[in-house]
Amino acid sequence: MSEARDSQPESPALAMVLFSAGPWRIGIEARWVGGSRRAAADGPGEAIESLLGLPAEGSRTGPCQTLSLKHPEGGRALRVGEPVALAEIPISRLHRLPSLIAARIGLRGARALALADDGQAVLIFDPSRW
Amino acid sequence: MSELTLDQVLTQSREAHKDTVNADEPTVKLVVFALGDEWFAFYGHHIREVLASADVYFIPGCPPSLEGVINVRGDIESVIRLNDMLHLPDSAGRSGSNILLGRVEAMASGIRVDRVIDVLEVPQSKVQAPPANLPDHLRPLVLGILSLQGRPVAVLDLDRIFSDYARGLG
Repeated sequence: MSEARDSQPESPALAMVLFSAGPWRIGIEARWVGGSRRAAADGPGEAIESLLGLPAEGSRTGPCQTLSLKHPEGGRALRVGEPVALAEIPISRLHRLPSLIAARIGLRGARALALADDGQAVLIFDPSRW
Repeated sequence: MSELTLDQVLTQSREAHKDTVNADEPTVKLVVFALGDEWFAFYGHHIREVLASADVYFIPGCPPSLEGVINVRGDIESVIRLNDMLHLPDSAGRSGSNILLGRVEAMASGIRVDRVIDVLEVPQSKVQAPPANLPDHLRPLVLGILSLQGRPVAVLDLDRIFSDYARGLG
């Protein structure tokens, strides 16, 4: 896992682990992640796309990592797409899901949004709801 | 030098505004917009801003009518399309479209429209009750009808639209 520091980090910030699910960027609080290691596309762990109900990962060809999640009901392995990065996200960039998105999004555990430096939207999940 | 008198100028001004403002009658502000070939309006107090353009970031796991989110000076707002709810053909990709930023109590969202026709103040009496022959799908959403430039304009209930959308319609 690489460490990606946002330019000019503001304070306070939240440590997040960012990764990919298909073309999308996903984040979870770093406190839920015990570790990570490189993995094959069909390697160990549940695929993030399957967990979230996103389109199947069959076409995934890029590198993957397996995250060890500290789930309240026991450890859990989650296979995610690279790049995987540890980032300090200023809380000023973290936003509650807009009300209509919160009502209509069909992805379990979606809690917030962050806008990255490049303007890309990062969907933040709460693993305790997985 | 003009040969007009002050009386003539004031008379002309009164004539010009005769149809739009009557100081004794309550008025309502409307944001009139087009979706396809139809004209609609929201009450102006529900529309905070009209955006000419904005980068929309796609959010996975949402219905097709939910375009994504926009960054409005550091605040994140959703952007929805009303075409499905209003039984209109999809007009995605039309050039010159606008986003209306709407807010009703706790709910807020951007609403994609094909173009903004006008933002105007009209006498309240110009907004008539919805006609009896209004299509069933529009009946709960339309607060009234007015005529603008010879065309019917349906004034939509943004509160109802947001709550119906949140419940899964559209």
